[in-house]
Parts: sequence; structure tokens; C-alpha cells
Amino acid sequence: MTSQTGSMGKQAGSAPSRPARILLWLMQNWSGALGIALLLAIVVCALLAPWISPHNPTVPRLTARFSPPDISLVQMGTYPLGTDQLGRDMLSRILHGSRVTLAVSLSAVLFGGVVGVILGTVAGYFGGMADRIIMRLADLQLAFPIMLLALMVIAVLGPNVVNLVVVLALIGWTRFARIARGEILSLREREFVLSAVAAGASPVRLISKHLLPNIATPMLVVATLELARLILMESSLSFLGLGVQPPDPSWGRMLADGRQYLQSAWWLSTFPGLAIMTVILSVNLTGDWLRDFYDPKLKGVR
Amino acid sequence: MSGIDMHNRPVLLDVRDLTVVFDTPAGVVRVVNSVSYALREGETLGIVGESGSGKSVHALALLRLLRSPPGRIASGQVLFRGQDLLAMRHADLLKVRGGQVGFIFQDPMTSLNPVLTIGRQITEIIEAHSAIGHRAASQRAVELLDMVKIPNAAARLKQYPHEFSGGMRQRVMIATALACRPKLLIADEPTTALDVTVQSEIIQLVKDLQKSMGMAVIWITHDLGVVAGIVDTVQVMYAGRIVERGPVMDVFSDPRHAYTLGLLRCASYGGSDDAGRLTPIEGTPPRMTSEQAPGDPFAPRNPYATERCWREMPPLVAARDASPEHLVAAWYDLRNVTRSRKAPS
Repeated sequence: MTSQTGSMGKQAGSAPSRPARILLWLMQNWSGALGIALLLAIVVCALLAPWISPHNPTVPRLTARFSPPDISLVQMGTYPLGTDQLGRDMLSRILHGSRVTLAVSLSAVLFGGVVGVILGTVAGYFGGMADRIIMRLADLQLAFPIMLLALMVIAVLGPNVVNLVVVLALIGWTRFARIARGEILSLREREFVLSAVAAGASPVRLISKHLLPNIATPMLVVATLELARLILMESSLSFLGLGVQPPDPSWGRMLADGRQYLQSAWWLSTFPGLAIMTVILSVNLTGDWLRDFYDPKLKGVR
Repeated sequence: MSGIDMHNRPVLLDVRDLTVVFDTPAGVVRVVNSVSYALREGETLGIVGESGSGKSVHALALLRLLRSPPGRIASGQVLFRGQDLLAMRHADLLKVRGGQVGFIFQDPMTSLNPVLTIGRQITEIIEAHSAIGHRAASQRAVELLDMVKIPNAAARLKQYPHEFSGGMRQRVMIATALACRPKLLIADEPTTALDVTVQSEIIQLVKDLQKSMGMAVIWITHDLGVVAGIVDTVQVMYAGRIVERGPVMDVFSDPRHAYTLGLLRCASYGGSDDAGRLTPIEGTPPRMTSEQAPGDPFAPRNPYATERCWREMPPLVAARDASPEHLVAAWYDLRNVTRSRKAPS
């Protein structure tokens, strides 16, 4: 309170105060703010899952099977989101499931992003044969049914977290590569690239110091949108039993397991589904906001 | 810099028979056609000509900066301090670019990287060409901005290109081009995109820096006023060839090629027929495909063309009754034809 009055005192008359400006920004970018806030909350929950979960997510408690959601949070030891068919606490399982989902999809985006940006940059900068090979590879990848590819790879390599990341990265790299290539192609024609070359920049220096910083923001936008897609993909693979293996909780798996009890215990599938929806919504809102924020047409306004 | 002591200076750049072609779907286009000239240390050479005369392309070709395809250097040598830049290993060429030869481009609004600070862009070049550390490079960058007369240099280094005006950006470009104290500065229409007042400031700046650093300058422009103001030697290009070359005063006062005369009349520097009236050159530059007709490419636009002009390409030789440095490629003697044309009317 005292600090607020102090800052209010310093304000110069008509200029909007700092809290007012933040409020204004939030009103103008409410969807982005909502997305970022949700995403932050989810990440914090995932990081703190072992400490904030009310129960152990993997220990069955058969006496408490199919307990309905109980939001009277007065007593500890109750099940706020109910329990599943083995009596495990749904809330704890969802919290722990978010760790796996986020870790897998983030590392897949990172992995696929690095590979995609490198390949796309090489294709765009050097052109010719390298361009043709890399882009046909990407076309091939895009033409191939994703689920079939995932099934094949997992079936051959076996279902575990590392292979899941590999599969998701394999799915994700093409979009990075195509957009990076396009950006590099248009940047190459810009005069500052010629002037950097005339100043003695080697291809490696030109790419690392001049071209990559210029494509960083579009790549960030692609990364957020791709993250949403890969989270959904991870859930789908887990749903099919090809992702994280039991007893480790995962949202897709919980969704699948809860299906057969949908008539009698609706919370088994509903809450994991809601969790998936919330994560994807928040990532997409953040991605949309980032895209608008870095829109070149609005650059002068900033 | 007087013309007399110039000839004793060592040759810095020796261009021999440089031919640049573009491979296009319509055929091979000869954009630069066996251009040969020499530039001495400290000399300022002005290259003038219309758009499409090959003046910019020839400058890019000197440092192998042409995009290939479609550009291709078909023949020639570019000897810079005795070393052939066209035959040099790529790694050595990188040291020459930005190190011993600086390049300034036409549009300062697009020739700086929008996402890097000015400081980064200057130190980048210094660090690429010398073994000095980041702090020393930053210090040098401040010196450079001071040198190109950008006020408050240390603070300006942290700013991005969009925070600079056009003239200021061109100053930054000059600073980057001069970062490693080059022996040769190639300025490709550096003032075309700027306001007239800013233009003269930039020209004066380059002139001063040239004097203090003792470098040679190739100034490519279509502005004859700039040429008259700063260059020692002027070289007129048309259709990828040098059509006239000589000390600037000789060429301006006594042009021997009809194209030079035309350019001067367009700009009201030459003696136009009725005072104050600008005379355009009729027609447009030719398309320089391989199945081009023999003869002087300027003949179709030349009111003084003789029959020989249509048949045979004139060589670049010393002009009659002029200083030995004054070269011209014309079959006709412009003094005679202008006089005889005027006589009957």
C-alpha cells in the first residue's frame, strides 16, 4: 500500500500511472494475457507437482475406487477431482501427467525446431541440390500419414519417452524447415545481406550473425503453434497406448482408460480432456498473440 | 590532388578485359563488355552512365559479389595490389572484402541489418578482420562514428537502424566500410536515395575522409554534379563498355563521345544549344544479347553516327589533340561533327 501511494505521488499529472498502463495493456491483449497466465500456471503446477499433489499418483487405493469429485477442500485427504478405477487421485495424476506432457512436447519442439531451422536455412541459403533434397524430404514427410509413421516408429523402437520425443520431433521439423527456408530466401535478396558479404562475412558468419537473428521471431511463433500440435499428438499417441507407459500417468492414457466408465464415472475422462484442452488453448492464445506482436505490419507502431 | 603527381603513384587496381554475362532464358546477356582500366592509389574515379550501363554490376564483379546464377564473370582479371581477385582463394577474398576494399551501397534504409544494433554491426566487421577483442572493437566503433560525425557516438552504438535517419544511416554505412582502413572504397550511388542537402554533406564527408586516410575511391553515380565536384578521373560507360575516359575537366569541357555530350546536355553542364534548355538523349539503352548487331551500340541513338559506327565497334583510343589520358571510343571526331552540324543552320 505504502509503495503504491509512493509511486502515485511520483506520477506527473496527466500521464497514466503504471498500474493503469498495465491494465490498459491487459484490456487490449486480453486473449494473449489469458494465454500467458494459463500457460505460466500450468508450467508452475507441473514443476511443483510432487509437492502440491495431495496423493501419490501411482499407488492404487482400492477402497476408494470411483470416488466422485469432492470440492470441499476443507479436509486434506479428500479427492477434489475424484478417483479412477483403481482408486488413484485424479488431481494428482493430472498434475503429474502435465509434467510428462510438457517435457515430452517441449523437448520435441526444441529438437525438431533445431533440426528444422538448420535444414531450412541450409536449403534456403545454398539452394540447388541441397534445397531440392531437403524440401523433397519434407514433402515426403508431410505426405506420409502422421499416425502411421508414429505407429511404425514406436512399434519398431518400442514405446518409451525418448522414442516418443524422436517421433514427435520427426513430425515437427518440416514446418520449421519450410518456414525457415522461405524466410531465408526472402532475406537473401535484401541489401543488408549483400553489404554484409561485401564487408567480408563468410557464409557461416552471415548465417549465424545476420540471417538467424532475423528469423528468430517467426521461428518462435512457429514453435508455440507447433507445441500445441505436438501436445495433442502426444496425447493421441498415449491414448493409443504408444506413449508414456503405465503406471506413469499421462493425460491421453487417462482419457482412454476412462472411456469405458463414461456412463457411470464421468470424471475419469472429462478432467484429463479438460486439461488437454486448457493447455492447447493457452499455448494457442500465446502463439496468436506473439504472432500479432511481431507482425511486420505493426512494427512501426511498436 | 593535381593530375600531374597522380601518374607517379603506384597502380592500386588494374582491371583487365573484364566481361560479365548474365545467363537468362532469352539468351546470354553481356552486361559488362571487356572493360579495362587502372586506378592509382589515392585516386578518385567517377563512373557514370544510365541505369543498365553495367556500372554497378561491374563494381560487384570486382569483388565477386554477383549472384551466380545468373551472373557470371566470363573473362578478365582484377589485379588488386598485384593479386587477381577473380582467381583468389575464397578465404583470401573474404579478407579483402571489408578489409582492404570497403563497399557502400545505394540505399542506406535497407543496407543495415534491422535486428542488430549499430554497434554490433560495426564491431562484427572489425572482429572478423582483426584479432582484437570485443572491448577494443567497441572503442574503435566509437572512433568510427565520431569520424563520420555522428554525435553522441557511444550512446548511438546501442541503437537499432530504425532509430536513425537516412543520412545518419549512410554515415553508419560509411563507418562500416571504413572500419578496417581500406585502400579502396567503392561507393555505388551512395547519395541517390538521400535528400539534396544530406547528399552534399555525405559527399563532403567522403572527400574529407579520403584525404585523411589516403584511400582510392570509385564513385559510381549518374549525378554529373557529384562527379564534377570530387573525382579526378571520369569514366563514362554505355552498354557495358567504357566509351570515354579521362581527367574530369578535360572530359567535361571537351567531350569526344556523343553519349558524354548527351549526358552533359541532360544535366545542363555542357554547352546546350539554347541556354537553359535541357536536351534528352533520344531512345533507350540497347538490349545486350549475344545476337546483337555489330557496331557501336550507341549508334541508333547517336545523331552524329557515321556509317562506320553501324558496322564496326570503335576501340577505346587516345582522343585526337587532347591529353594522353583522354580516351574515347568513337569513329567520328565530335568536334568536327558538332561544328559542321551547326554551320548550315
